[in-house]
Formats: sequence, structure tokens, C-alpha cells
Amino acid sequence: MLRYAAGRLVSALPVLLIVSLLSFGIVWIVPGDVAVEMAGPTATAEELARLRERLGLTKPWHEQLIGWYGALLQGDLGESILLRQGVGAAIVERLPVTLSLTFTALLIAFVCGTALGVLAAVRAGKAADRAAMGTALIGFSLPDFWLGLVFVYLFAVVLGWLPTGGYVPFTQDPLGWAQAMILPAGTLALSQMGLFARMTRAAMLEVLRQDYVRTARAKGMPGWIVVGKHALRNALIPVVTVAGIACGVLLGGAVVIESVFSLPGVGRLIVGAIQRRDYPVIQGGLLLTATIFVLVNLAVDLLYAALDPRIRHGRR
Amino acid sequence: MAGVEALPAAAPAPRVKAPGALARLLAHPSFRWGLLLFGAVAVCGLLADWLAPYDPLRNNFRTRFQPPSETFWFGTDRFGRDILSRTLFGIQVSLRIGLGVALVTALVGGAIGAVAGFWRRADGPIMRVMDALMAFPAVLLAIALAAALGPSELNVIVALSIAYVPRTARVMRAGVLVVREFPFVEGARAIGASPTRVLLRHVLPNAMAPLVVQQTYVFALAVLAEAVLSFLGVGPPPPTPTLGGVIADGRDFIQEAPWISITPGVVIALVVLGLNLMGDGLRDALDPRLRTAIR
Amino acid sequence: MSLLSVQDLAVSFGPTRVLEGVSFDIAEGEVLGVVGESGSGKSMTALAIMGLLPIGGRAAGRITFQDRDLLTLPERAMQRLRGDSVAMIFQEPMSSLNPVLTIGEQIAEVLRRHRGMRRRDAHAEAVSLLKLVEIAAAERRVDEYPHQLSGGMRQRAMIAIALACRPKLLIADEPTTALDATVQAGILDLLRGLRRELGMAVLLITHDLGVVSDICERVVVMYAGRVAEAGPAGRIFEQPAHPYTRALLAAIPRLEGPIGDLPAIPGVVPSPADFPKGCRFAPRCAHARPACEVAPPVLRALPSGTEAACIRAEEVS
Ligand SMILES: Nc1ncnc2c1ncn2[C@@H]1O[C@H](COP(=O)(O)OP(=O)(O)OP(=O)(O)O)[C@@H](O)[C@H]1O
Ligand code: SF4
Ligand SMILES: [Mg+2]
Repeated sequence: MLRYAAGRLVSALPVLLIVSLLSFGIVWIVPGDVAVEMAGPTATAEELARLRERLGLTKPWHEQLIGWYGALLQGDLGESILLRQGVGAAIVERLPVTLSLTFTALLIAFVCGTALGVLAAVRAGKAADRAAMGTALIGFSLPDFWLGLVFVYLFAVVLGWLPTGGYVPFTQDPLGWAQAMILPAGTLALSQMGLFARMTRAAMLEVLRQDYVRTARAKGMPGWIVVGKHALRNALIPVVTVAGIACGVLLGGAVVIESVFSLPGVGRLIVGAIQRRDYPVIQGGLLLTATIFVLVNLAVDLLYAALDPRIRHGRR
Repeated sequence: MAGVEALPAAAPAPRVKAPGALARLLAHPSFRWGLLLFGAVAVCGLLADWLAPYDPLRNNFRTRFQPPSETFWFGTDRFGRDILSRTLFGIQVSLRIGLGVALVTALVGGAIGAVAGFWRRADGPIMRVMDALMAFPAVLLAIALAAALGPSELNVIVALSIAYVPRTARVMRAGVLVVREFPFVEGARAIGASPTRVLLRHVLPNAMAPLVVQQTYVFALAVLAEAVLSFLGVGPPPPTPTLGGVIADGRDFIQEAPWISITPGVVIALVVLGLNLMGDGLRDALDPRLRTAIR
Repeated sequence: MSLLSVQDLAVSFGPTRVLEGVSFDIAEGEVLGVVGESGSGKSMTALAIMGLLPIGGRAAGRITFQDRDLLTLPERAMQRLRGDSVAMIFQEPMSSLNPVLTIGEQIAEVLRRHRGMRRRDAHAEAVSLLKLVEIAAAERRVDEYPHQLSGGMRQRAMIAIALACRPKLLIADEPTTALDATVQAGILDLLRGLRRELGMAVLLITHDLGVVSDICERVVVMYAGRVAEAGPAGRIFEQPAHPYTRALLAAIPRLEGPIGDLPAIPGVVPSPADFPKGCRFAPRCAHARPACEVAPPVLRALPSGTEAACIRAEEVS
């Protein structure tokens, strides 16, 4: 198990290296002068020179790159031009919002999705199957940010049940947090719920045909244990592998959902930075999101091993 | 909406035989419904010049915030522009971008995947780069790229293609990995065909089916992502009417004028639903073995 | 009074009848062997008794177990019966155990379900069951996963699961077919010893006539979804009445080894879709007459001491 974990960790390193390189490189594809683009057309020559100095643009590219990695190793992501704040600090401040949004959505998507998938598989070919799969299909066909707006209109404006947006820290007021989270997380979860439902259905259909399911029934186990324990435990193994990918999609979706629901998270920070061409924040935001993705997938690999004893023991 | 990554060495179908596959495709209810939905919306978009009752760009301050009525079927926005007309022209933009991304990623991703799957020594480095690209959430990466490149329709296509290329590459690679082990490929090698020829003549044609399926889904993903980009203001520049842009126009008026945002969202949903249904149909018809694997 | 009585059992998948007119009894503590070529309906018979037919399969007739008709018993009551008073082990030890649960958990589960045991007691009992089926280092094995065990050990674990609640009837569907010859003997010895020790009845499905002569008291010979011949093992081996049974026995020089392809009998078992109208063995039978193809022959008692479904049984034997 330890060797397996170490192996996964090592294989993540080159990916992280390329990720950091790409995050750094995003400024290089900006056509024209980054400083002019950032400072706007009204900037004076002196202001531009100062900005170039701050961004390190006066140095040759390889020194810039070395500087980027040097700072990175010290945990320094650079300075935001507009916020007059360290990029790292700005992100860390907003991270709880984004993480609670993403992981609440992941939880909703996983629980509802697998439930739908199990239902569909157990009732394969029947009306319930078709209804569940139709729900899944619609789930990942709707534009989530638009659905968010519709939900805001419906639940906040028309019905007045929930706030139109804003964030309440969990530690301050758990109920308020839940109220603030339910709409954005639910909206965000929808597309990945569909994905989980499809994966689960396919995996369950495969597993339900296996001999060990027949053994479980021959032991006199009631249907819900046969399905929920013997079959689902096996069917979840392939489903869990997509949880990491789903998490990445959700992180991306959070960017726009945070904007729709006025949640002060990393996504909104990045969108704001993009609109105002605050490149250090864009670079840091990209790097951080991708790193979270890689780490989550590492965690998923370990979870995968925990679910499947054959991997844990180094077989397969 | 990833999922293709989960494709466990998707076995490619035997070469698609046109008549049989087409008949099976049209007999598939998902595909028929998908084609109907997608086709209906696409035709409306293509005929926008004739169908649109008003100029989508002309401001008219006397008709601001009109709710749906007989004169303005889907209402007007804050500049008095007709939502129906803007939506119809927005469909054109969405389809151009979606199709563009599907084609570009098919070519580039297909080539990358084919090389990675066929030449084992190239596989490791190429796939590490693809992994790294996939570590960025596709939508976020596309937003950042589109913003950096500057607002234009072409740049949106480029940004989205970069974001979605790894998926296509992976699918292609998985297909090539399977096909290259087929006996007839071994045979071609044995009689001394050059590797490039083996790849182009024998492997690729047989590894095509999963790619076709995948690109239908990429088309759908690109339409959704384009809407996000336009919504956030990094899509094609104004005053081009885009579906995401119209939704953004209505966003601040969701209380007073909800109709502005609702119409284009429904249209996006119909296009994407249609494409996804077509993808499901294609998947079943072209390669039944893919059924459990993708999505 | 028999423990299990199967009367006129028929199993069909949609319009195809894969099993028809199957009847036999098992007394308490008796070992009944069921033999026949591949596709003759042995597994379907077993699964029908367990109420575990594959999806789409429907059973008709009567299966009486301890005075209850299993075919009309509600699913809930069947569940209480399965794994408790009727247990089954399968042909494939490799795939019949759940790969993500420990052996101990898979045994303990039955005890908790049917005996209401608590977790710790069930775990302790699982260890003694593993000892009962002669698995070495049972204390360690109990917490291992199926992939850590050899094929023979897995089948022993399956037997431990089946015996956990001391069933009155054990159905063993070719329990050794998938195993190496040396391992087979061990498993059979174990089964023989256990059934003597526990006094349960066993329905043993097998390809191996040697096994039948070894441990079965009575035998049912099946052919193409019907019973061809039934009777005490000794009588069947000494004086088989049905041409099919005779061919089976003739196919093996000595009573050893599996039936295999039955080179001595030309042709193959027909598939359920094209069963002949009369005697189903007629196309392959050396003694066939036109009369054989008119109607399916009924099972009838013969002076030789067995029952056979053949109109010419007396002349043949
Ligand atoms: N799910 C099913 N649907 C339809 N027919 C089936 C199904 N399963 C089995 N059959 C048919 O039922 C008949 C009896 O099969 P069964 O498995 O009982 O044979 P068997 O005697 O156990 O053979 P073997 O020695 O190979 O295990 C066969 O002809 C088979 O084709
Ligand atoms: S009934 Fe006729 S065909 Fe059938 S086994 Fe007897 S002799 Fe042979
Ligand atoms: Mg069988």
C-alpha cells in the first residue's frame, strides 16, 4: 500500500512541473505588450516602466522563469497588481468558499448520481430506468450558470425561500452556510450527477451479472444488502475513479457559479483578474486549481486502493 | 462532464460500413430524437437572416424591457433589442464555434493520440503534457486563454480547442492501442509496410469510431463552454449576439425581466441535449462495446 | 418422508422449455447424484430449487421441502430458507466469492443474518468453520480476501459459507470441475466427511461418474432437460436400463475420470429450441425405433430396480 502511494506521488510530479510551466507561460501568449494591456491605454510611460519592473518583464525570459520557480519554492505566487496583496494570501482568503462549494457539489453529485444509477440498473429496461437516465441526460445538457439564474429567480425572487447569493462561513452559522450553499452547490452538481448516474448504471449492470452476486442471494441475503453491499461495493470502484475528474470539472464550473451567486471565492477572484488583466492572479489561480486537481486525483487513487483489496495487495 | 478518461481501452469497432451503420443509426431512437432537436435548432439558426423578425443589433429605446407579446414573441432587452432575433443569430455563433472546436480537436487531438498510441517512445512525454493540460479545469483554462488571446470568435475556438484537445487525444490513443495489436496490422508490418503507412492505412481507419462518438460530445461541451465564455465577457466581442451574452444581458434584470435570460438558455439546452442524444446513438450504432464505457 | 420432493418440474425461458417433467426425491441425510452431459439441465434444476433462476426463467411444477412448496413461497420466506436450511455451492470458486469482502465477513454475514449472531461471535464462528473445512492457519485466512487464496481454498471457503448454518440440504453444483485433479480429491473427501459428520442431505451435481459411485446413494441421470433414469447407485451401475445410461457407462473404461465428450455416443445434446418430439435421445440412440419418436416415454419402474424413461428398457437391458 505504501509503495503504491509512493508510486502515485512520484508519477504526479512531472505533471505538476508541466502544470507550473503552463501557468507561467500564459502571459507569453498575450499578443503585444502585457504591461500596456494591463495598465490600459491611458497609462503614462513612467507608469508602464514601473509596472514592467514589478512584473519582472525587464529581465530576459529565462531569468523570469528561474525567478518564478524560486518564488514558488518559497510558496510565493507573486503580487496582485490590483489588490495590492500577495496572490497566495488573496487565494487562501477565498479558498474556503470555493472548496466548500466544490466539495458540497461533489457530495451531492456523487450521492444523487450513484443512487439514480443504482435505481436505473436494478430496474433496467423499465420506466424507472428510463426516467433516471433521462434525468441524467438532462442534467449534463443544461447550462449550469443559466440554471443558477433560473433557480435564483425561482427560489429567491418568486418564492423567497433562499438568499439570492452571498456566503456565510460554516463556522459562523452552519444553517446560514447550508442555505447559502444549497442552490449553488445543487446547480453545480447537476452535470456531474448525470455522469455519476451513467457510470454507476453501467457498472452495476456489469456487477449484477457476476457469480458472487448469485452467491450472496444463495446465502439468503435480502435484496437491499445484495444490491447495496455486495454489488455496489464492486460497482463503485470504477465510479470512484471519475470522482477526481468530476472534481476538476466542478472546480471549473465553480468559477462561473460563484459569479452567478455572488460567492466571494477563488473563481470570482480569477474572473475579476481576467477582466482586469491582473496576470499574477491569473497565473496563481490556474496553478492552484490545477494543483488541487492533481492532489484530489492522488487522493482518489488511494481511495481506489482502499476500495479494491486487489490493488492494495499489489495485484492487477 | 468529462468521462472519456474513464474509457478503459475502448475497443474500436470494425471499420464502419456506411449503409449498415447508417441504417442502424437512423433506427436508433436516441439518435433520431437528437437529430430532430439539434436539426430543428440548427435550421432556425442557419435561416436566421430570413426568420429573425428584427435586426438583432438595433437599439430602440421605446421598446425597452418589453415582456413577451405578439410583436416581440420572447420580449426585448434593456436596449429594446428583440430577444428572438438575437437568439437566432446567437445560434449561428454557437454552432460555428462548436463545430470549429470539434473539427480542430479531431484533427489535432486525433493526430496527437495516434502518435502517442502508435509510437511507444513518444507516448510517455505526450501523455504527461496531456495530463497536465487536463489538470486545468477545461472551462477555466479556456477562459484564461480566451482572455489572454483577446476577444474574437477565432480565439474562442483556439482557446476551447486547447482545453478539449486532451480528451480527444486520449480516446484516439486508446483506440490505436487496441487496433495496433490486431492481426491484420501485424500482417501489414510483417510484409514490410512503413510505420507511417501502417498507421494511416490500417490503424487509423479502424480506430475512427470512438473518435466520431467523442467529437459529438466535444461539440456539445464546446457549445456549453462558449456560452460560459460569452456570459463572462471573454467570448466573441460585442455587439455580436451570442447565447451566453444574451443570458448575461438579462442577468441584472432577472427580477424585472426574467424572459431575457430564459430563452437563450433553453436554446442552449436543446442544442446540447440534441448533440448528446446523437452521441449516444452514434456510440451504440458504431460500437456497441463502447456503451458501458463513455460518458 | 422425503426431505425434498421435486415433482414434474419444468423451467422455461419465454417459449423455450429447457426443463420438463423432472421428478425426484431426496431423503434426510441422503446423497443424491445428478449426472448428465453439458446442457442437460442439471444447473437449472438446482437453481429452480434455490429460487435463483436467471432473469427470465420461470419454474412450474412442485418443489416440496419440509412440507412447504418452494415455488409458491413468497420471496421473503425463500430468503430465510436460503443459506439456512438449504445451501448451495457453485462450480466457479474463482468468481463466486466477493472480491472486496474478506472471507471472514462473507461467512459471518450468513451467521448474522440467519442466526442473529453479533459481529464478534460470528467472526469467531467463521474461524471455526474455516477449521472445519480444513483450511490451515484459519485465524489468519479469515481476514484475507479471496484473491489471496488458491482455488481449492476458495472452494473450501465457499463450503464453509454453505455449512455455516448447518443446512438440512446442501446443493453442490459441480464443486470440483474447475479445480486441479489433486485438489478435487481433497474437496470430495472433505464433502464426504462433512456430510457424515453433519448428517445433511446432499444433491451432488457432477460430470464424474467415479464420484457418483463413490459417495452417492442414489442417482438421477438427466438428458436434454428430462430425467432419463433414476435409482439406487448400485443398481444403476450394475444394471442400467436406459440406453443413455448404458452409453454413459460404456464411455468410461473404468469408473474413473470425467465423462468429457462421450466419444462412444455419436452426436451432441440438442439445444432446447430443437428438442425432438418423442424420446429426446432417439437421434443418438442405437436402439431407436419409429415408436420412440411418437411421444416422450414416461419414467417407469423396472424389475432391475431402477426407473427409466425408455419404451424398450426391458429389451435393452
Ligand atoms: N439464461 C438462460 N436463458 C435461456 N436458456 C438458458 C439460460 N441458461 C441456460 N439455458 C439453457 O438451459 C439448458 C440447461 O442448462 P444447464 O446450465 O442447466 O445445463 P447443465 O446440465 O448444468 O450443463 P453444464 O454441465 O454445462 O453445467 C441449456 O440448454 C442452456 O442452453
Ligand atoms: S425410447 Fe427409444 S430412442 Fe429413447 S432411449 Fe429408449 S430406445 Fe432409445
Ligand atoms: Mg451446470
